[in-house]
Amino acid sequence: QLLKLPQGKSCYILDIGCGSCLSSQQISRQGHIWMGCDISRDMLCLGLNKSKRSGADLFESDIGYGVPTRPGVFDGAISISAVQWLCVKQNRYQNPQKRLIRFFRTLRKCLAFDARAVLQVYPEDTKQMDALLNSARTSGFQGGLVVDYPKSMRAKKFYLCLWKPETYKKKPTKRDEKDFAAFGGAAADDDSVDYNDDNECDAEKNNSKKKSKKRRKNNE
Amino acid sequence: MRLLTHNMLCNPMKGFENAFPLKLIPTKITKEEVKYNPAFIVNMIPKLDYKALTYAASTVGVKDLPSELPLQISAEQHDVLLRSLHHTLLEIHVEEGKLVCPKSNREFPIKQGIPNMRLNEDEV
Repeated sequence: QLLKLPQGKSCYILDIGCGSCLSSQQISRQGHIWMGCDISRDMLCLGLNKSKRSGADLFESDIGYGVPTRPGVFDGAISISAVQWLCVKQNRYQNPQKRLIRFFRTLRKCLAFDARAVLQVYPEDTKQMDALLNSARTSGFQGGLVVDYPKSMRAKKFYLCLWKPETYKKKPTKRDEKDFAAFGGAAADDDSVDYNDDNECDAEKNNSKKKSKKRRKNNE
Repeated sequence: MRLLTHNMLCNPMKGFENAFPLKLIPTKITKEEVKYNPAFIVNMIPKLDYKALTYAASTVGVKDLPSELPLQISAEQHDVLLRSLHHTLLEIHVEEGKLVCPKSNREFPIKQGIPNMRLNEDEV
């Protein structure tokens, strides 16, 4: 739903940190073809049969070195519980900040102009969440965080929902804002939805702030 | 690794992102049927690097691809061409072999159909 793939079209999707391809099967069921990458060859081998049956493909890669593909090839990108690992230093040579930027920059490059990336993350703390959001913004993405079931400790899920600035040359429609609000009332809590500061149209930034102020007043 | 993937992959090393296409040296190839989806092939055609595809097809023994694609492609008129592209892109698997960067000659091995694009610490 968040990926907003065009209806009736068979798309090419990147699954980042696909592991044994359990979640990627959902993409196949919708009629799309996907390419999965993971740092663990053992996990990829577990998903080999699933990928072969569905016309998909796998490659072994560390996303901290970027997404090694040509620009503009994917119609969408998803990830489940992989990207937050970029915040963690795996050895003494690694610089998490550089790895995050390289990942988001190359991710932005490999997506088609109207494609979105929806990354489900499990950040350890607000510091990691901030690092992810800031790196995505610095790399030129727009979008923000969608929180599903924000009031449930168990079911709460965080989705980084990102797109390129070129996607919305015009003001986002009311329907787009409703989409964010639809997920557990995320837009009602202003802290959980944050639009890019480099937004081309300042008017839409002011509009969204006014709307959230109004909502808070109504709630009180 | 399918040829569709080969058409997308580049060298992840900084400064070598334009090193495309990677040389494909297959040592073991298998073929597996995949459900034909003409809509997907038509969607992918603008994104393909066709020259790289014809190169990769020649390394795996596929010779029936035309040297150039027609400007307008429709599922009804170009069924034979689309089926041929579908077979080339999705049904041929390179199980073992290697990808070689044309600029740095760095080799990326392919084992069990999965290319290893991971870099060593000193290459990052």
